[in-house]
Amino acid sequence: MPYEVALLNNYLLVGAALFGIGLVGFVSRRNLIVMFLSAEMMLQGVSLSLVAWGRFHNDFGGQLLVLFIIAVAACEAAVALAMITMLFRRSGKLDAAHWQTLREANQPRFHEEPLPEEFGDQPLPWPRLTPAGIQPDVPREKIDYRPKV
Amino acid sequence: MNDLPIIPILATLLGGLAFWLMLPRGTARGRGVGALAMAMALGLAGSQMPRVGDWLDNSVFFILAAVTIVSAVAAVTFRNPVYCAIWFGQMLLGTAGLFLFTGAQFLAVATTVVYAGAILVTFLFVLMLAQPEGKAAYDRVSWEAMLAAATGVVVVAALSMIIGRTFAPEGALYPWLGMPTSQQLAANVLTPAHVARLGGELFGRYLIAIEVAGVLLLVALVGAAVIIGREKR
Amino acid sequence: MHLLLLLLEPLLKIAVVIGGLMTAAAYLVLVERWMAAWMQDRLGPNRVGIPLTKIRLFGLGQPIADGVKFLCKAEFTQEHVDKALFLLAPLIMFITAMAAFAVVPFGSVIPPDIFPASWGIKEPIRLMVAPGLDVGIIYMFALGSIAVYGVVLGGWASNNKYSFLGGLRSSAQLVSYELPLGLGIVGVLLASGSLRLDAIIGEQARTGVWNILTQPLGFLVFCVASFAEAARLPFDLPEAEQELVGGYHTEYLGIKLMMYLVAEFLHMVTAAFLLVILFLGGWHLWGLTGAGEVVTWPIALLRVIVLLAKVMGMILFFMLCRWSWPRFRYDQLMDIAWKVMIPLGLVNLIVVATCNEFGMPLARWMGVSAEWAMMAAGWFALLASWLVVSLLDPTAGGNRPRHLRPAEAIPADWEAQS
Repeated sequence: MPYEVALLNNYLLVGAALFGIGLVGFVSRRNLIVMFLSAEMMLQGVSLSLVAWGRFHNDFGGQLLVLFIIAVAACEAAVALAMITMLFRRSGKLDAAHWQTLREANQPRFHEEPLPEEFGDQPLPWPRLTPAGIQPDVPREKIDYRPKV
Repeated sequence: MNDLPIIPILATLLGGLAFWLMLPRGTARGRGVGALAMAMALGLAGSQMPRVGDWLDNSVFFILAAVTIVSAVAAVTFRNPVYCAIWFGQMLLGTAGLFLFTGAQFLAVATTVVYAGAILVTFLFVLMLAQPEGKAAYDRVSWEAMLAAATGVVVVAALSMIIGRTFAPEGALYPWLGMPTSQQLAANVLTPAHVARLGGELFGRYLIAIEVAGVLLLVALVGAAVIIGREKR
Repeated sequence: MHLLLLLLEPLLKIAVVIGGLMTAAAYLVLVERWMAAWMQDRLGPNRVGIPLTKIRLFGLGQPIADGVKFLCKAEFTQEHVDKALFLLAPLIMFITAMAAFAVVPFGSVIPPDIFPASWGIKEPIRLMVAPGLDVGIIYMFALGSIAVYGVVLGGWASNNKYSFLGGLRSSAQLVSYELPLGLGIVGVLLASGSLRLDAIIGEQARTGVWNILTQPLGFLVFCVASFAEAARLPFDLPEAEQELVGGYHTEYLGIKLMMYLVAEFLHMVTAAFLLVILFLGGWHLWGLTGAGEVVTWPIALLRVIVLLAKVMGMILFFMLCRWSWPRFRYDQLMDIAWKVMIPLGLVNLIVVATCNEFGMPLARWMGVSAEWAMMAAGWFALLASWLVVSLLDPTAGGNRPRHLRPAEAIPADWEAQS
């Protein structure tokens, strides 16, 4: 294949792959931010295709449309962040499954299954120091373990 | 049956299986196997893609493409959302590299400055302030992992089939209709005065679009400020 | 083999740049300590001279001693940190600080006739690692945007409230000051017509008028913004030891901490380079260095020396500022970015664009050349905006309360009362 055609072919394939991966991420993840990132990934896949076609047709329009896509993505990010912040304020978490009132009439409610205990999730122990002074009057769990941050 | 493209079909199915294994499903089993299977699928798919120029061009392109796709897969499948955001940033750098490879220099740096430098940092802020303890319960279980992977398989398979058919020697594009010569490219898209030409087109032919984009940015800015400010009653 | 020869020129340039920068980063710390000592009326480091001897050589061996100390420190990674991000953050900061020098010219060209003819060099060698990149300065902005990740991830990965707060503060400061940085530059870009740094110097050399003379307001905005981007005083609240222990690099030690500190110094060097190249004429010195591309080797050498001398002077100015002023409070810092610097940058942009478009008729009416008209407009813009800002914005003129209602006015004998 000539250079230009092979370049176009490969760029379209990479763009398609990015689009597909973004699609899978958008429909499967529950974290609102990761969902948004997957949507942006779909936009990046489309941008790659646009730039490749722009080069193939020897036209700047491809690159300029991607520039406009970047501008629009910035607007979308601003508004999406505002809404995500509002949703977080009301529910206290970034979970898309929390908002169940938008489901359809015949759709059952989504119940979260309890997670199996995972190795590596043990609470962190405090570092051990040489005992000195008076022992504080605190329950044993608080001395031994602490939450993250 | 003879001309079924075995290796691309195998690569797509393997990629779908690997994706299903890697998506957060509530357990940590299968993620390693999934990563290995994804690497194999990407290798199989990469072996079917045509070579681009001499070995140096080819290597640079394939390294950039591999980095981009691996980062994209990681961005979607990691359980800690901060890691997802970081891998997304790496994917943006990969696409910026791909833009640079094809001659769109301004787009490469604009993507990095705007997307990776501003949008993603803002999202990282929100993530760090909203979820300081890292991966929560809703990060470890995704919705319908199997259906999602199947959807991805269908979409990617359809797109690659279309692309393959178009670029095949008996396809719609032969005999490479519309392919530009290198002189044409050097005069237009690959000109040394890249930014000057880009600015000329932007403020010449696409002037109204630029003005509308400016108004859109203003509206989005005001809108975002109003949405967030309204809650503080 | 042909490929290797093709890659030899950039690889040599990269080697020179990296070697020079690392040595410069080490010895600039020493220069800063001398400067601090001079300003504080004491002796700086003067004991560590030649290694392994007792010869004191004005403390020139101090950076070597510091480097060896950093390398030999017992380095461990704490249990409670996020290990991958903990390692990644200083790497990001260091790599972006280094990679920014790919588009910075260190001189103009090396003429081809000083090489023996058998080497086959026919074109002058540009003293820039990546001379073909048409988007020169935006590339540096892109790397500056990526450097924010080094800060915010370092703060987050340390799993420590103080580091996290310091990381957030520092990254908010860096992101806020990217806007005045860009606005200060746009005037220069309009005047030079190109984004490439060697073209900007060439334009200043061609007209003979440095950009600081025609756009002093842009210089002010860019100078303040680059102080903030390099996190130097008076904008170094993120690492204010009195408040945040160490900021985002509290939990770091050993080589990772050295990477953070070296990256900060490289940011300062980058800012100095940009200020010199964009506003102070780069390698151009009136009457000495000429303005053309085709030069003889003494002039080429003189250009390199002039550029490096100007950069050194700018770095000394940065250090002078560090030891002269107290730091801004965080809200003052953000106010200055959003309420003062961005409007001033926009005013500069408007003035420069108007002058570019309508400057010629004005200059002809005034009877002077276009550069004098631009200079007049630029200095007028600076003085007018200075006046407006200090009259309008109390943040810029100190934090004194203004416009008090008569009942709350401070009585004349407040000293006697307290």
